[in-house]
Amino acid sequence: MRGHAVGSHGPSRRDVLRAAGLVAAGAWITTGCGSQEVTSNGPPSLSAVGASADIENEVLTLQTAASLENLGVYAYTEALKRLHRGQFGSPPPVVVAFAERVREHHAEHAKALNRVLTAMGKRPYTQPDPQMLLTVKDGLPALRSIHDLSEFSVVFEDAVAQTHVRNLGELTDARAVAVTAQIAPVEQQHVALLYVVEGKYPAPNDFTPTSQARPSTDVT
Amino acid sequence: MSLASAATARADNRQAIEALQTAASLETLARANYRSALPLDQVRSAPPLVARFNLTTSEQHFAHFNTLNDAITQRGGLAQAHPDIPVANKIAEMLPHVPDGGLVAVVDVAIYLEERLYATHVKFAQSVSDPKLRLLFISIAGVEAQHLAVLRNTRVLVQSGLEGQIALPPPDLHRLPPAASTDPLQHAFAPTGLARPLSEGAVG
Repeated sequence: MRGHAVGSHGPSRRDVLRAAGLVAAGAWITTGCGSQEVTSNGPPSLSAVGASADIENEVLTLQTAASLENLGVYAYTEALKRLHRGQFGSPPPVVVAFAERVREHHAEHAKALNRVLTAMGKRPYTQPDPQMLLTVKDGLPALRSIHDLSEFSVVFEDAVAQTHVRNLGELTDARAVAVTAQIAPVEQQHVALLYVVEGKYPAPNDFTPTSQARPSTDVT
Repeated sequence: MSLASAATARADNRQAIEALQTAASLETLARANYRSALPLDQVRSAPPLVARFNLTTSEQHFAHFNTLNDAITQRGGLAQAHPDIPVANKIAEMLPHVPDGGLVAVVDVAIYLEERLYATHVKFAQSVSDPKLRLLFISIAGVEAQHLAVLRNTRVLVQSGLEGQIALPPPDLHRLPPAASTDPLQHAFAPTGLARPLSEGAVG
């Protein structure tokens, strides 16, 4: 499989952030796979259950995925406060609408992942990724423009998307697969629109890479 | 391996090959569609990003097509070189309306295709038992999802009379309507209702 990139991107604020460990210092994690009939536009039902090779690993992966989605809710809530306060200048309505919509998505994703955990007899994971929370708290105040905010956000979204994709190749629980398959591409759409705001090509890869996926250890 | 498990493995492989063939038939159709749009007046007179998107997306669909066919032959199946017939027929019905429909008509044909590609890849990722194939389908689905987001964003801008904002980055973010971000993000979960039947593009 190729992860061919279209166009070239020079070192960006994102690269600098990554290199400095500002954004990637913590960990982005996620979930995995299964197989189930789902035809609606909403989250998949949890009626079909597949065999789980290692339920504890599946649970850890799902908890980490939920923690990333919880972090997304936190990060966009904070970003919206700062947008309205004028930290990045006059807030463009399209950017405010984006942040509100994406926050809703992450909240829905967290709920869906937690429903899987609950169906597996585990407790929902309601906290943000603990390591990345510090990164977001430290990083947001330093941002000065919409461009800065987009660069900062895309690192998170890219990592979440890639983690979901990577997990789909590893998970075995049918419910987890079904949910993750319907979440991962939506994160890619978040990435695409953030790239547009950044001035970068919105679909730069032939295939979704997984190099920025996080290991399933953030919540341990 | 028991006889029963061997039979199950053969059935799984047959299902995987059919899914790959169907996906490949959609990819080659999409590639052809984007290439055929390049010479259209609406595309040539649009901001340069539109032609770049057409060309790049065509190449990406070709990359998907080749990779899917590689996976088919590795599994002992016949490569799928032909477009999905039902979807191609629907596109053929839409094409006569394109010349008089402005850029939106071109975008609408692409949206029709990408919605089906996106849903099909997600559905197949949920359906196949092989984790490697699951990973392949979902890694493609994310790219199709991005194509769809760009197309819906473009549609909003054109319909709002903001073709000049179709650029990287848009020259004035304050002029963009909220729908430019919310319309591309209308689903929190990838819809699968438009997925094509798994065996629709099966050959051999």
